[in-house]
Amino acid sequence: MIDNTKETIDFRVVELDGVQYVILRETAFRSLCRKAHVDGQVPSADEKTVSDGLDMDRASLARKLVRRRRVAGLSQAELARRAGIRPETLNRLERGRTTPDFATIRKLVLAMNAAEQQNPPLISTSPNEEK
Amino acid sequence: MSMENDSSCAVLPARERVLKEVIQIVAEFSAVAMDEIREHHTIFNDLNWDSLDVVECAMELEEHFGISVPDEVTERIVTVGDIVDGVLVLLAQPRVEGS
Repeated sequence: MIDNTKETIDFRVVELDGVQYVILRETAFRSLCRKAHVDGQVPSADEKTVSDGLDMDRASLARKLVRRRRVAGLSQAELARRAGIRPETLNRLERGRTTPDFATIRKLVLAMNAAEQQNPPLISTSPNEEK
Repeated sequence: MSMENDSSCAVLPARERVLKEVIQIVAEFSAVAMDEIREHHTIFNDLNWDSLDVVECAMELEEHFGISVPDEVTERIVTVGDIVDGVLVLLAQPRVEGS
């Protein structure tokens, strides 16, 4: 059924690293925000948003994940199993090849925390080989 | 919910109380001292967080306030104030009692 009173909006769906995004004209976005009574303020160019942070901290996050995993005393395969994610996915994350979503990070943190509670990490750890 | 007994501000509005507690938690994940954290501070720029810090802070907030933070709420966080607003919204939601 075609309702001629409804506004049509052209948009495209793109997928980046397994996450779907919507691209639409800024004017259309502003119109949607006004109608939804939400603040569609665009952050300044030098201010990172969560999505910018997710993209830009990939390498930093990868290094942190590897360190946390080793402190927890888990192999990559074991952490992936405990977190319920594919080993290939964890491997890509730890190599900084993909940006994890928050759900995945939460699974990893929960698994590492549980492992640390079962086997408290040693105070001093010797540095292992870098990836 | 634990609260500090601060005689200098006996009765704070709900938002101010939550702000104080959020800042205490946020400081655990930040290189910025607790008394220097402000509501307008951005988590990625000013506090130098990464997404791991975001998730771990969300988990800490869940335990502290007895709430569940959905990922879609976490994804909208830009400032410390956004964290406070999110906590207040979640605190206001009816909770499902366990059997």
